[in-house]
Amino acid sequence: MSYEAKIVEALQKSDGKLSTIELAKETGLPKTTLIKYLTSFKISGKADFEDVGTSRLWHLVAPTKVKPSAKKKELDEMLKKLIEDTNLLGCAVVDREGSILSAFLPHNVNQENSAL
Amino acid sequence: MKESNIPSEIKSFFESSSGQTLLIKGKPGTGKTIFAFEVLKEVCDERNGLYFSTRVTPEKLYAFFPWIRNIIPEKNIVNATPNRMMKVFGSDFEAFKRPFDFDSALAFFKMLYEDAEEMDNPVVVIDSWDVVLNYVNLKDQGATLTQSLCELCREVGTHLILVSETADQTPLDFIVDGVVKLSDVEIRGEAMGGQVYSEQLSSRTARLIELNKLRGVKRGQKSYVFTLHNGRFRSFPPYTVQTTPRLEPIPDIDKNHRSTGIKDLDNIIGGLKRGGLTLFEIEYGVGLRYIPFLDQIAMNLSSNNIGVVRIRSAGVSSTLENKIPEAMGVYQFKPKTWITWRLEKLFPTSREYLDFFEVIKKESSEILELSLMESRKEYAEFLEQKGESHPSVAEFIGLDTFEILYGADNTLKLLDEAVSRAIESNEVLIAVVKRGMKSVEMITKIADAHIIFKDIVGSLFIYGVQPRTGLYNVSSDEQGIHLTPVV
Repeated sequence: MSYEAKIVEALQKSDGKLSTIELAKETGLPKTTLIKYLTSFKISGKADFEDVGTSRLWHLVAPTKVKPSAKKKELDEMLKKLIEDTNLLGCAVVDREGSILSAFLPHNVNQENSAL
Repeated sequence: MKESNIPSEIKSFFESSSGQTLLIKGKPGTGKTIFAFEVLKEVCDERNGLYFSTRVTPEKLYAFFPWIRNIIPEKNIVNATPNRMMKVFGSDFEAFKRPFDFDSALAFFKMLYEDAEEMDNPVVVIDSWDVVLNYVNLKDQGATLTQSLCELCREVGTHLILVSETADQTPLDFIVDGVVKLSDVEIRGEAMGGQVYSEQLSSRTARLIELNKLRGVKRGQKSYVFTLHNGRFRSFPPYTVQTTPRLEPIPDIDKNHRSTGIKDLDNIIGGLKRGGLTLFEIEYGVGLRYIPFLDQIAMNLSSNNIGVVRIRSAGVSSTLENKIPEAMGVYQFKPKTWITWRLEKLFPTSREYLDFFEVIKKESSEILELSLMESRKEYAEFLEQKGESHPSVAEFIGLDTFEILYGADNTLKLLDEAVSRAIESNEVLIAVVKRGMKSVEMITKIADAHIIFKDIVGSLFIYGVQPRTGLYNVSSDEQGIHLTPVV
């Protein structure tokens, strides 16, 4: 089983309740390897963590679809203005199915796989 | 138990909890990098060290510190370059006003581990953190990024060591779990009762590590002197007196010099000059910790069949005197006529005795003169008697005792007589003086060798005024006395 598969399996089983150290124990992976993978997962939107007390617990994030929209240009303009007016780091418009219609995200967040 | 080169508090600090963060501060050349490596050697598993360097290539690192290869494999020496840093943090972060959060810390560690070996318990050294922050042009946000890194390290149980060229206090001091500061300090001789002592004009350099903050660890002492001798960091714990062991005798160095019995001291001063005076000066705070040093010298001389006659220094108890049995050829001179031995038994405390002594010194000088004459005669007879059992006799004289009893002038006369005897017999003469004695300045002028004992933050050191030497730490074990240069 690949390192990536081991981490995904452990995250699926844990239901979002494992810290980094617990994940290292669960998967048996070296700590440095695990941190590299978790960071990649986080950047690509495949996994995220939640602050619980002093710990950060990791969970998988379901992929989000990007849906073509006839009003994309109009939405893009509105979001751009919103970011300029409010100094937000990023923002997006998502429909009821969870698909992205328009998004302005920080440079290190992949739009197609982002957790929103 | 294996002897540790770093202060025990530092080891306890890293053992007390996982994910500790230590800031090592100090000006360039104070030994920060060597200290960081020594910490790695003490607390890090084999091949689990990672060194993020802004200035040293692996080739140079292994050339200077070959012993670190097992701790930091070549793949774990990561060069910090501006490009690498920009890749992590982005060159346009200021335009975005991006906060440095946990994600930034994750990205930073991902970059560190990218090409490194797999490690279960990594200990990361970033040398230097100032330069890293400078690469990404961080100003006020440096503390935020540091905070995030420290949080991540605590979260994942990874020890982190940050090296900083900034010796002053900064916001980083409040973020990390521990702060140590390394510095060079000038060590000077002590003044004598308001008088300028000539030796005070010269100085020796010592290296000092200050334990400014170690969260959760009780500090035995706040600072230690250390050396970088042979490219290794080694701090000096407080000196503890050990019983002088019986050692193999060391023969004469040449026809003019006898061995001190302490190899390191022979290397430094070239041995004890025959027909000359070797002077040991004891500074305040040394107490009686110099005694084993003299014991080892005396025992080596006696092992070479030279008789040793010692006149005790003030404060040296009979318990200490009796440690070397007379059968070994080391004799303590306890004059029956010496007025102090007669009087001290009459007074319950030394204070009362000294007070009384001050009175009779002023009012009954003729008693002292008589006592002095008797004592000198008795001492000469004692020397003659011991000379019958040995080819020659070396004298060890505690001059402080003499000055207390008979004043500075008579002390110089006694020493002059002893020097004449040493020249005549071509034997070594050793004298001990204490800082504060009136006759010290004059005595130092007639000594062939002049060595000073000094206490620095609880550790014992010596240095030579004649010949001029650097500072040496004094330690002892079952192999006897050792001297380690402070470089």
